[in-house]
Amino acid sequence: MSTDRHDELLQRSLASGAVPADTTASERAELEPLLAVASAATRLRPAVQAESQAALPTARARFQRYVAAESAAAVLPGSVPPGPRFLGRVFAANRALTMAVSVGVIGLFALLAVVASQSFGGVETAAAQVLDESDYAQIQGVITATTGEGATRTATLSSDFGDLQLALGELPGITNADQVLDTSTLKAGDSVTVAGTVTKKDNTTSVAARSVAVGKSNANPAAKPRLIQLRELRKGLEGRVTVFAVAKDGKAARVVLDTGNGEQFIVPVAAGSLAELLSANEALVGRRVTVSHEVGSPKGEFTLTAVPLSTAPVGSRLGLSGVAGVILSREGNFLRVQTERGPAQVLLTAQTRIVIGPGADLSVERIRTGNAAVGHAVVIQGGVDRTTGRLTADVVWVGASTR
Amino acid sequence: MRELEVETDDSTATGRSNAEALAQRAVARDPHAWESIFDQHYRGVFAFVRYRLRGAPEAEDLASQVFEIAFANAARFDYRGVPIEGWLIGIARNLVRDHLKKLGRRGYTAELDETFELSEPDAASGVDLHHDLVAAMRALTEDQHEVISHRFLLDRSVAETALLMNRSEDAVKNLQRRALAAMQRALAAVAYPKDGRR
Repeated sequence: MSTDRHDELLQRSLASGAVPADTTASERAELEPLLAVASAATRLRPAVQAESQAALPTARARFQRYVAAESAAAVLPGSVPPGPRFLGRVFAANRALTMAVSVGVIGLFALLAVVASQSFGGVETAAAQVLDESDYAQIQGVITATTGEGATRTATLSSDFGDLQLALGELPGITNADQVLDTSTLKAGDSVTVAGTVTKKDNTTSVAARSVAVGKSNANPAAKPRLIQLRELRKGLEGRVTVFAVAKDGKAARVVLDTGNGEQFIVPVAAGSLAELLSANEALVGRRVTVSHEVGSPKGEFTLTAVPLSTAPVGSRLGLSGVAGVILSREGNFLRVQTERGPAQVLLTAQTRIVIGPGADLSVERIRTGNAAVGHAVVIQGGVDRTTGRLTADVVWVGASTR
Repeated sequence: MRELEVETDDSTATGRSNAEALAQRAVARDPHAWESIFDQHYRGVFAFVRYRLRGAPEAEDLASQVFEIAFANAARFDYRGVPIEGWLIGIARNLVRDHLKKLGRRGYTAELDETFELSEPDAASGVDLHHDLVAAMRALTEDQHEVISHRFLLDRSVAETALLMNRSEDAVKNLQRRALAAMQRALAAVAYPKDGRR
């Protein structure tokens, strides 16, 4: 019997479950034991199926954790593509719309300009003016005291703008270079960069910290700088960002800029220029920027442009990550964002501040409650949860629809 | 045994289109696509590696690694009519090979045979049968082992097996016969009767 014939006869036998009638006695003698072995082998199947079924839930959970961590890694420092290429493409097609909607943002900045129209005489007043209730803020300072433990742990932060109280109870840990340390390790004398939500009670301004990084800070509480509200562009204005804040409704974005000569400027930031800054994997605080005023833009609204630094800014230790992309879907509190590195999942919380960029034609409420932002360009800055690998958004900037 | 179902041209085209779309999403590392791929293929990959390993926990771990490696290297997957399952099986094959090499270097080969335990949901008498069969499978070459896994443990047709192994159907039929003959010889060595029952 040829090999081919034997192979075919065996296959026919396996398919029918019996040796074909047209086989010779010798062929049958060869085929029958092979059929028996095949039959025995198939009897192993249910046991393996049971094992694989039992393994499935644990394995699936492990894989989901892996995918989440890998997706987050796609947006970790050094891995996010620079924003301009993506943003440039988005805005290239929507430039007219961009200009039109920018007008809507102007009034808010103008209002801020009226409120904070004078230099401030004292640091307590300065803190009160720079930070408002429910602002998301990034700020630097020096820890001067700590009290309490666990959920009640607090610290006093001495900043350029006076003392602030830090609530550390909900903080998972503090970052120190590449380490994550327990909040109990925070001590007086530590220079820190903090991101969190501002609360005010009586005359005390507090920050419920969401990220705290320990490291060399540029803050100099003893300096008591002179604060100036920027209403007209000063030629060549450049400095280091010492505070970044966004109001609860995503409006009134502003920075405090330290020029290094004893003056600090409160600078209202054009919503359009925030996208570029947020797409970086580092806090705005500590970055060096230049200030400009785009031709045709309303008075009192300024564009910030980051100045490349040879070394990482102090605020980079906050471990913030930036994501730029297009919103694919909204599932519960999660946004799925298509980035150039693949999809990323982003958690929106009540503390997430949503900034409506030029051309978005959306409201914060619509974004929070539905799928209105699907298809829109988005830039997100937040912290990566090392346990789940997901990015929790601190600030979400939503741009024009790409559809 | 299930044989390859003949699809109509429409269903073939639709299936190919769906598979290609899924593959493209997989390459883009779309988590939803990968969840779908995981749910479709984890059990198959588990079964594929199971018979070459000592126990279910090792199989679970190795099968999980297959998907993690696949996801991490998704951009390298080149969809050219080869199902993603074939890619996963290829990763599994290499992982098992490396795993067994490591065990061999540590002198665990004998232990591997002796400690193999398979869940037996019903018949206690099947335990010896399982042990003998598994031992017989260890006598197979890698290709023969793969054919037996696909054809009899995973219930795949000749055509499906050929696609996953990147072989012709004739080659699969030949491997299948040689594998069963090798197992029969191994079983005969432990006085296993020709009708498959003790």
